Amino acid sequence: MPEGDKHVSAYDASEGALYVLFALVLTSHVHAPKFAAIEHLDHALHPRLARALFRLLAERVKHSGQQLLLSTHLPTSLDGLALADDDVRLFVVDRAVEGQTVVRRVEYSDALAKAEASGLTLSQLWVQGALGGVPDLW
Amino acid sequence: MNIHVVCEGSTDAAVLRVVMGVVLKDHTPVINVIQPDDDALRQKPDERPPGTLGPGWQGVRAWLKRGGVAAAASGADVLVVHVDANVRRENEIAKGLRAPESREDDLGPLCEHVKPWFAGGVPPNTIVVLPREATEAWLLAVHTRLIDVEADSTPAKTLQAMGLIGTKGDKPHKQPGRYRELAASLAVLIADKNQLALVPELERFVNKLRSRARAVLAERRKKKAG
Repeated sequence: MPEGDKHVSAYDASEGALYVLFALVLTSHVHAPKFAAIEHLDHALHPRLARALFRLLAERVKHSGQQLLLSTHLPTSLDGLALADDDVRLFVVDRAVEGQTVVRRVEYSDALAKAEASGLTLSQLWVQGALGGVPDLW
Repeated sequence: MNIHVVCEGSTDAAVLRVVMGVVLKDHTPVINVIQPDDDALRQKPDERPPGTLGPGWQGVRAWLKRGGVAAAASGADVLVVHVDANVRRENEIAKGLRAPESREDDLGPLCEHVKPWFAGGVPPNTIVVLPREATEAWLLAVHTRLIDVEADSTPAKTLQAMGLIGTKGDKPHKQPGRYRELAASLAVLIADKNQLALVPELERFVNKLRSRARAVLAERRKKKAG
């Protein structure tokens, strides 16, 4: 930046910072849509920041009456979801044997609550395969 | 139907996938092989990423023991756990097996031995499948005229000897793609009651899958009715 220039443009900001700003505007602007879907909002964020962003967004939309649909491949983003709250929902998108796309809700079951109580996080459960949504590379 | 699979290896997964796809074709099966982890399969044990488990029955046991089993089962309609029956001859397992009782299936003690591997107990929607002596026996049943294929203690070597799979070093070359091709013919066998009866462990697995599918349908109807 030139000396004395105190302006930071969007071009100067990191991609992750722009995503966070976008998400905050989307959940706070008076003319923001009631429903929005964003693909991989977390892809340029540190895993911890992604987790915090998902948690924050879930809290904000709960109070604003908006509905937000977010897709992710980042395990830690799941840890920002309070699944015990029925307004916060997690879905796994899979492909059936004959090619159909199948969407299944991961419900907050007793088994999931017990796994969490034993110290397992949603991200750990996903990576170890317990939630499904596992790639087939063979 | 949503199926989670914990099995010994990628070739077992290839065969199990085909069998489940055929048996459950009217139930839109979604099959997630959650063990072994493909990443762990591609690397030497000491290069495996932390947290991943290797293949084999030891991998199955480790996965079941480390927790998260109940969560895996609760997120699926069926949790299929596979171990080849020939593991009952492994010293570590053999010494812990009781003798089968009279009239009891000789795999009964092995099944009983596997159940304590489940951390927190065996979830009710679990199917334990123990192909005798190994999954390859099912492929022999559809690609050879051999009889009593489940009595073959080394069916992979028989597949190799008959030129149905290749050789790597001096061992059978186990490739998931080739196994998938060979397993495709199982659809014909499964559809024929008499043929299926000649492969008892496969028949047992097929019957368990069908029974579970009926139970899932009944559960869904009940839930829908409120």
